[in-house]
Amino acid sequence: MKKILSLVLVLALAIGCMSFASAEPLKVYHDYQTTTNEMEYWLIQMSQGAKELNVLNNCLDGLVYNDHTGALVGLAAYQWEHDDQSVVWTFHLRDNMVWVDCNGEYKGDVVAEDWLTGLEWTLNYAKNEATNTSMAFETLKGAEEYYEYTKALAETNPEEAAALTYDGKFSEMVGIATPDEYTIVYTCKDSTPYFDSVATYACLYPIPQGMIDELGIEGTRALTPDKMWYSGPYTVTTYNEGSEKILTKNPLYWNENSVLFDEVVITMVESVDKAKELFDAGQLDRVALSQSALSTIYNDPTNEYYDNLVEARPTKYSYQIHLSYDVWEEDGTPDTNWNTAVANEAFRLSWYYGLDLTAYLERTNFIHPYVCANYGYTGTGVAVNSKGVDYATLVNELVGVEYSDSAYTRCNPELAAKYKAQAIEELTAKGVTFPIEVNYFISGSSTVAAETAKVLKQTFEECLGADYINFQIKTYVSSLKNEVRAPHLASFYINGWGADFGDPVNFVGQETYGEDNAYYSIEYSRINDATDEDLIATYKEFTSLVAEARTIVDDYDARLDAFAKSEAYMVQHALCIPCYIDISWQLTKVNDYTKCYAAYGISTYRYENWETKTEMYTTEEYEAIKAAYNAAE
Amino acid sequence: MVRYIIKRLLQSLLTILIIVSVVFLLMRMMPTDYFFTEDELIKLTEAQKQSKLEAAGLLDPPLVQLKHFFQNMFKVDYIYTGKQQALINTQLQTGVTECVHSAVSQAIKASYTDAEAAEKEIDKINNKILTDTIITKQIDAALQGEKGTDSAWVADQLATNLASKALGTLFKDAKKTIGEDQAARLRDELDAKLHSDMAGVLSGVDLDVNATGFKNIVNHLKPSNYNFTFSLGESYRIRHGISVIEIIADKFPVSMKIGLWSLALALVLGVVLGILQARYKGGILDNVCSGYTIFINAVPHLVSYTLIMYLCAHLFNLPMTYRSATPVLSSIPPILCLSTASTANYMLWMRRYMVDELNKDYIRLAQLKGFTTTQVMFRHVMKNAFLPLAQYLPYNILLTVGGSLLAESFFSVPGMGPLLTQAISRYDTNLVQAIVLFYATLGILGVFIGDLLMGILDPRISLTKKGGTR
Repeated sequence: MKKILSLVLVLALAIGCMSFASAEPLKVYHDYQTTTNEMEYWLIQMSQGAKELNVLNNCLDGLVYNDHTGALVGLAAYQWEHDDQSVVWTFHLRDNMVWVDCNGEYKGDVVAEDWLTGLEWTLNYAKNEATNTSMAFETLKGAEEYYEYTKALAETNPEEAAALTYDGKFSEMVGIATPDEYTIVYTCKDSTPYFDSVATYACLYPIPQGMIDELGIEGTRALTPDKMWYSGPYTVTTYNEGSEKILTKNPLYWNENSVLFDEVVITMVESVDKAKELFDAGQLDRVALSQSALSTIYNDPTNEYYDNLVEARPTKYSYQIHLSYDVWEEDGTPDTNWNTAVANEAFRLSWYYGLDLTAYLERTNFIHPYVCANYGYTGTGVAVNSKGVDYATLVNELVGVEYSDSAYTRCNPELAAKYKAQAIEELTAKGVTFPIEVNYFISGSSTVAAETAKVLKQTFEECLGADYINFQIKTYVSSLKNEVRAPHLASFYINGWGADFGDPVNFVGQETYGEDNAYYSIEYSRINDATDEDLIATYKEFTSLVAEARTIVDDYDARLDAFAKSEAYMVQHALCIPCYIDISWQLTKVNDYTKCYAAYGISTYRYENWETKTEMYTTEEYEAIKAAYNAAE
Repeated sequence: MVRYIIKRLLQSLLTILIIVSVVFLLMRMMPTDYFFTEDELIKLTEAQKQSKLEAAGLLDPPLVQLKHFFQNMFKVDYIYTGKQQALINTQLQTGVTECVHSAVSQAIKASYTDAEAAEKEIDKINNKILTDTIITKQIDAALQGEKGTDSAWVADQLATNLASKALGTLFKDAKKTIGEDQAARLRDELDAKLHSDMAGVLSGVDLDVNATGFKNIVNHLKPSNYNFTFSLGESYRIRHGISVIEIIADKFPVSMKIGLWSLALALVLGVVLGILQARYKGGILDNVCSGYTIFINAVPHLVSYTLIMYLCAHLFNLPMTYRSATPVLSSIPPILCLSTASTANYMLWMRRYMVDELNKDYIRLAQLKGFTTTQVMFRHVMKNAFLPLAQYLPYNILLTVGGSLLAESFFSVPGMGPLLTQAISRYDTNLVQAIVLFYATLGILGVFIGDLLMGILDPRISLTKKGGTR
């Protein structure tokens, strides 16, 4: 029956695509970005943020990238393989790629040497100032040692350090070699079964030596689009900082089968509301909808966009409620009441089971709030086992909460009441007074954040009781880090994490106890500063499960199972509480299901092979596309 | 008059320097975390963050940074004639090339038993490193440090740089051909040989020059001229590595064009309508214009901008944001928006001054003497009524061409307007410094020119006499 249904849906997609195909595709695509997302760097090795990488991944071809299903496919590398231990990875490059200038004029051939030059630049302190080194340090043999060598050299002789090339110390120290012009061999520190997913990222992108020779070290560091060499599907022909960028099809792009726009015009706008105004005037081809815009359209069947509301695909970010275990009062003394309460497992579990976040999810997705429910820590698409099961599904099976389209299934009022009673009893004995003050911080200048915080406050007070917690909304002026995180003021934060590469360690590794690289432990939960022994023991157990999973390198399925076990442990002990995933609504002329879909890496905004129409997609068309895509998957 | 101008200019310069220094020190009081993006805060370790701050010079004490800032602001370069440069280039290129070639040949021949392989290797290295570009770059690099005038030090740097280049290539291939141990020995020998030979090449050269490049290397060739350069440093965050002067130079013309057009429109409309209002005081035109003035001043600019943007887009199909492909059409909405408030202000003040003048005795006298209304209005009333406006006109012109934060952000105009707030929020200290300097100069110049203009237009005002000085 399932097969027949799938067949019918695939046929429906084919028929649908035929009908869409009859519509004229867009030749010029008009996109937007908010001005806060303006680029700062044009050299990809110096870029770490989506604001740069969303543009630069159209200008340069890395070794591999994610296609519209999220699968890794070759880009500059047409084929790659690794040894039995997944330590040595060999990438075979295409021999028909070229570098061009911004006008599409030939500058040189793309060869393996460009990757040597690129990695040397990344790891050379005198050139790249430590940017983009973390993934190379974690995976590649000799990478950190070479960085330290250049840093020491730069302290005494910065010019000499900057003049270093891949010939010399770099070739001796770092695990990269090019046996011929079209082959690159990486040697990892340890077994790294996910190394090909690391190859999607900026740190392993090429730089042509010819460009460095032309511009010099300083000139390359201060790269501008008119001086840049391009190997990707587009060149940047116009760049007005804070105003617009125009990407023009690269006439010498190697992939003749690739479907590209003649031009992509990216307009910088001051807000999403302004983008909607531009869309209304026909000056944009896509716009994301804020909750107010969405509800206005959805609640009015006569609205011109009523039939064009389209649900976007989930972003790569997985949002969590990060509890803070070492909170201070404003005078710098410990907030003993909160710290004692949050260290109590029954108290945390009363939140875990008691919070029905439906109203909060509606702030992201007013129409289908439950598709945004998140019951695990790692986002979907990060890793898949040999049976094709997504890692997030493995976690979910262990956590034991089933997703539903019509209910917030994690919420269990009976269990919540039980844990609440237990927490009150245990905490009262420890001298905790109720209601416990919970401090949640938002930006004082954001009205959207203020409205969302009010919904959250109402949710907390209704679900947990005002006698149990006293939810306080507080504001900061400009920097959450400086004004809130540094002085340990917030009781919890809601924050999202997107993977840099395709392995669960990139998610769970951020929460471990006593490890310097665990970002959330250091910056948010402050677990290393907590004093409660039971809490620390729970964290140590979680950390040992993660460490155990890390050591499994010869059996990928077993590795994923072990990580899933550690993540489920963290979630079930409510060390941090999964909150939501971002699935918003939009008006668009683009079929999102033909776009690159990257759960990690940088190819989400690659304007290649997109199916588009000159008219907006309708809700009905999109639902058919989505159903067919899911069936085909 | 000249003394007055010089005195005012010197006072202005001092004021600008004080403003720039105060802003510089204030910026250094901000936490350096603002220097990093959220991604960098996540991905960089504490040591790496410190390294980045160190590389940007932000870990030095604020006063030391201020000293560096002023030191770097003015630089002197020596200028040589083409003939002098050619001579220096030839001398150094030839000396260094011969030195490297000889060192490489000698070291390889001593280590390789296979003569053919050795020749091949020598050719390869020569092709790889003995190009004019690479030699030039290595000489430049060697001269970049503070000790660039010490010939022994430069020789050492040059040898090290070239050896690094030569040895990298050589060592990789030599390992395969003659084995790792032999290759290591070859590398050490070549390294030592290059150092000693390079010292020989440069031993007779007196490097009494600044460190901007090998073009200035031999002191017996006296520079034919000196070149003073003014630099405010480079942007860290807005456009990494680009000179802040270049950033301002890119953006200023856009703001200037839009500002000048809007000011011209506002002046013409405001002054003409103001005169007509005064002439037909209490009439329909006066009431309509007064209503406009009240509306523009009462409604927040953002609302009136939105209204204009909608009207322009939906009635005239104009772009809602600035487009480089259609700069004229897409500049119309921001020009209209910028001129709305200025028009209202010029109209209001022109009307007020005109009405004030019309009620004065000399006007009645002129009318009694038989002058026509037009003569009275243009010869006497307008001339006197325009004087108070004239004082602020240069100031307004200079500030308007400096860009508008609100209008330029609203219409995504790539101008100066939003630059200062962006630079402050992203801790781009050099850019903040440059923009403050720019605006302070514009403001002070505006007031100064306004004063001069008043002195010229109003015979009652003397800028130089005691008691008459403004």
